[in-house]
Amino acid sequence: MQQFIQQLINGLSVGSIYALIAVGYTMVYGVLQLINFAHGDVFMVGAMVSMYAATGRVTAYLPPWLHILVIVCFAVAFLVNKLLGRTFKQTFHKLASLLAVYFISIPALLASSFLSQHLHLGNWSMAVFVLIFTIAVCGAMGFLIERLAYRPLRERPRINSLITAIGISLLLEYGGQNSGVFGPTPQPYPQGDEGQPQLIPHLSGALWNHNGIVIQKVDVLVLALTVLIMLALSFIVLKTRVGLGLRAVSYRFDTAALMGVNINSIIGFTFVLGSCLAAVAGILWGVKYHSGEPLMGLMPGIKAFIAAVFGGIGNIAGAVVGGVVLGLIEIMVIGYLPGGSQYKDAAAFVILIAILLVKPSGLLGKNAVEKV
Amino acid sequence: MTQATADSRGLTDDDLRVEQVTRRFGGLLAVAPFSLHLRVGQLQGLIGPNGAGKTTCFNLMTGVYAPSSGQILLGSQRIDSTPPAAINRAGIARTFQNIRLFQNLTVLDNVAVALDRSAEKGLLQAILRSPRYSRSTASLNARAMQLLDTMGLADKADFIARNLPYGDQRRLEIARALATDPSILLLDEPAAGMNPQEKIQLMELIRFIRERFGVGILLIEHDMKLVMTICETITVLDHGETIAIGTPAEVQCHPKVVEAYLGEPAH
Amino acid sequence: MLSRKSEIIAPRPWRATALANVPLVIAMLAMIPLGQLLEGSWGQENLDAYFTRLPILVGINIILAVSLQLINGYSGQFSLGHAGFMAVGAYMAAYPAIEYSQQFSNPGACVIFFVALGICVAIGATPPMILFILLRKTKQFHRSLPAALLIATVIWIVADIASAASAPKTPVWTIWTRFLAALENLYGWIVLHAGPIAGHLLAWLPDLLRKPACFVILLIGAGLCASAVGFIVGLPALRLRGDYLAIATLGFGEIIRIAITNDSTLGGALGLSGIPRYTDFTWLYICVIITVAVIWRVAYSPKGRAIMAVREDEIAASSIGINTTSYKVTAFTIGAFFAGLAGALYAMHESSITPSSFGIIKSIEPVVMVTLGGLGSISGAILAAIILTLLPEVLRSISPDERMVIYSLLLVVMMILRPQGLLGGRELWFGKWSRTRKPRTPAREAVPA
Repeated sequence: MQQFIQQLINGLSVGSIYALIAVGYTMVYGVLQLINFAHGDVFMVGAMVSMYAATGRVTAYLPPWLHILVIVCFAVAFLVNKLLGRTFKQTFHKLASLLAVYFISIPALLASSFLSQHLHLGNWSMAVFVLIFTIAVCGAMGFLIERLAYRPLRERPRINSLITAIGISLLLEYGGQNSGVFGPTPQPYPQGDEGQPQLIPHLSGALWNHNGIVIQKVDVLVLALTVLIMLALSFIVLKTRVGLGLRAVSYRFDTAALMGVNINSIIGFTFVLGSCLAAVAGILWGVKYHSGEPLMGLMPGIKAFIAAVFGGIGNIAGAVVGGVVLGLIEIMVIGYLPGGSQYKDAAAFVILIAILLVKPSGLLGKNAVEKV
Repeated sequence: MTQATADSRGLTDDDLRVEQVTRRFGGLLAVAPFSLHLRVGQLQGLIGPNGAGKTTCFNLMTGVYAPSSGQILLGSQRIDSTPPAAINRAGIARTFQNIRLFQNLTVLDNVAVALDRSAEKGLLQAILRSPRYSRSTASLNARAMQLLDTMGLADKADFIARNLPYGDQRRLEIARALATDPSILLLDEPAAGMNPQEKIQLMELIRFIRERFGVGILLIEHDMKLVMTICETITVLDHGETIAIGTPAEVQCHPKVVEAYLGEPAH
Repeated sequence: MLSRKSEIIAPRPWRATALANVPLVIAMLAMIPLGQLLEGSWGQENLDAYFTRLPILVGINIILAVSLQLINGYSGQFSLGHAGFMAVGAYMAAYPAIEYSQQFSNPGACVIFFVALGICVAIGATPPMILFILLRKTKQFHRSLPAALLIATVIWIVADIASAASAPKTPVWTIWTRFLAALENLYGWIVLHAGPIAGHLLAWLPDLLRKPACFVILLIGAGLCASAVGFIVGLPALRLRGDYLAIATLGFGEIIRIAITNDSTLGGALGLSGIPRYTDFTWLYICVIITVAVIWRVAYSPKGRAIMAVREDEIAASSIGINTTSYKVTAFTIGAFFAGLAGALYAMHESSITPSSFGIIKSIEPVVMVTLGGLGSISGAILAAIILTLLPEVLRSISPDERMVIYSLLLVVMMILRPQGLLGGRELWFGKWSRTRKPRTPAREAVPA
């Protein structure tokens, strides 16, 4: 019985992280009907970036050639638009969001490297800073991916967007493995032993250690944070105008546009929100499992997606439920099935096949019947 | 309520008989007991306001939905719980309210694929390109071209279907339905989106089809002039209920129909 | 908008006759001297071993891409599980090649392997099939099936936990495992007794033909195994559309891979090694020609038209009497056969295979090739397969570190700039390169129009 409760807690913890990632998948699918394969890699970027930020290794500058390349690209874009006959003002409007991301990020990067290297902030401030910084980076990355890779393909058949998503995912994975970026080998997450900085202070060790049940502080943090985030998310989706727009777009894309909803903003917002959640999930994963590598997003990403499908894709509550249930089942399989640890990945896929056969619209989803 | 004229000749082999069929969706009774008798060679109409359940009746007759009660017979064969493909092979063909052509196939392909629908047979011959395959393919294409000729689409045989003008698309859909050699043809709002000139052509076309192919035709339409002109018997639905069955003259003056759908006749 | 002429009018695919088989045979025969050239003495003197390996990789990718084109392109079913079929083919060729064929000198044993496997699988599949058929009789199929599955799963889990709890040292998996063990015994028995008989029967085969015969038997057997798996995957796939189907096939592919990884007879995570090599340029490209010919002929025939019609509009297709189930499953089965063939060729070229080489990336590669070449175009798939196999190699010589990054970047850019693929869904020798026929004038009086 004690083992059962222990497994329960572990399962909830892992499941919460899956839930955070799954929400991102489900929101993007809800508005765009696109499976964003790159989402798992945004999660990975979150983990890796937070690791670098916490140990003060944020690259203080992007290499000069990258700056030059970006400026050249902007110049080319201006030129092309000029040749096509658009005025300077129109071009500026079109490129405004991209310019904003670029020009904000440079000072942000400089500031962050300065902070992390020189100011020796106290532990809690450090943690908050790393959190904000990682969320910002991942949010920006999600925004850029949508803007540059998915928006041009919005009118096209979905398979093109899917392949592009796969391409971006591969880009992030292989780019991350490049020795100039993260390097292919797993790196230890800052844990506070031997004088290494610890990301979140006082986090090691157990909160409760009676009756054979050990509740790690990490798990409590994961659960607490997830609950808070879900509450905030439901507030946003249900009570704000942006959330209303989000829901409208997920029901009927074109009609929402006709009703005056700014589709591009809503979709951008969706991606940013999902990526921020993935960033938090990445940090939590790193804190819980103590290591990070460029390919870490592959399996959790797929499992989170399965969780989203399981709960009903397009349905945020479904994603949460799906993530938690999937985490629980995975831990149970490891704990109870003989030879289970080999089958833990298979368990997720079996669940996937099962739900697709039995109720493709997911646990909380509704069957959409095609009108003949 | 006027009754349909009693049939004294007895049933032919391919008549469509719908007997007291209902359909529920959850708690909603979409179609209250609905009966219809369509003989081969007859032209009947099914009218009613939007949402009356007309397309649902079509879907019941073609196997897209199964009736919640009642039965549907084609000749002596019960067809009410058979899948759509089997019903088509038994002899009922239909067109759709929103045209459902094979958009990226050519006009010829759209019709040819309906002419030869036996599954599985001939795959090996196709792979080996045996003489039998060449002959059967040649005859298939020839028959398809013949049908297109009859329907006036032969000069567009190699056009990709999605590029056809709207009227031609409708015509192609009807041609495709006829290619399956049906005894009963169900047309769902064939005149939708047509101008008056095209509607006159459509009336001619429907009459021509009835003569040439000898099918029984059931028509859903909103254009009263068209319906009243060519249909012999009209059934009127409103909110799933059959409120009138009769000849055009009878239906036009029927009080319930006038109230629910037609409005007072102009004087 | 009526734009270019070639987009309005589509030329009719050649109505080939039996005579068309002649150039095929000639092409296949031409591969023999070509293969000798590349791998014979001339090749070994003048060409780096690297360059003799490249055409093999290209050939295998062509088979994978073209077979996937049937499923994804012509049948419109987005399948991300092609590597699973390839894995089945590879293992079902490698295992008998190692265990039974005795370096390809015993074709009889290989035949018996497949026969025994078939018998055991048929017997093993009978209880579920009976259950299936019984469930179908009840009209409440969509409710009874999940209920039955759920009950079966619960029984299985409970039985397993119970047996594991009572005898923790021995992982006994009760009913299912005992059934499997019985089947294995049956299989062993058949092989033991029928093997020598088959060996005698085929002893008349001259030595020269023995090795090729064994090879061909392995290829066909592996392909059939893969197509059986394709059939099993295709059936539940019928209910799913678009993205759901993609994920389901991805899941199936992964399940196959994980099942192989956990099976010790098939070598587990370390895979099988010591597979006798037999695939060379000649054999491979004969198979490539056969694959392309078969898929082409299936696609551009009345059956292929029906498959495309099902892709275009399933409801309309069933309204004209097409049995959509049959065509969709046929596409999966045929596509899986050739994927298995590719896997078998791959296994007998590399002397060792591991399950990790049939992962998600291996499934994605043919999907990318098919989409890049244009959905619905065989020549496009071939072109894209060639380009996408050679590209990483070319990049490797340019900048070894960043080659995969550049590869994925190019992928993204190509998708954005040319989403309809290189050939846009047309074949290389149709479309703008062919003379489109003049529109036909009607032969006689038509409908009053």
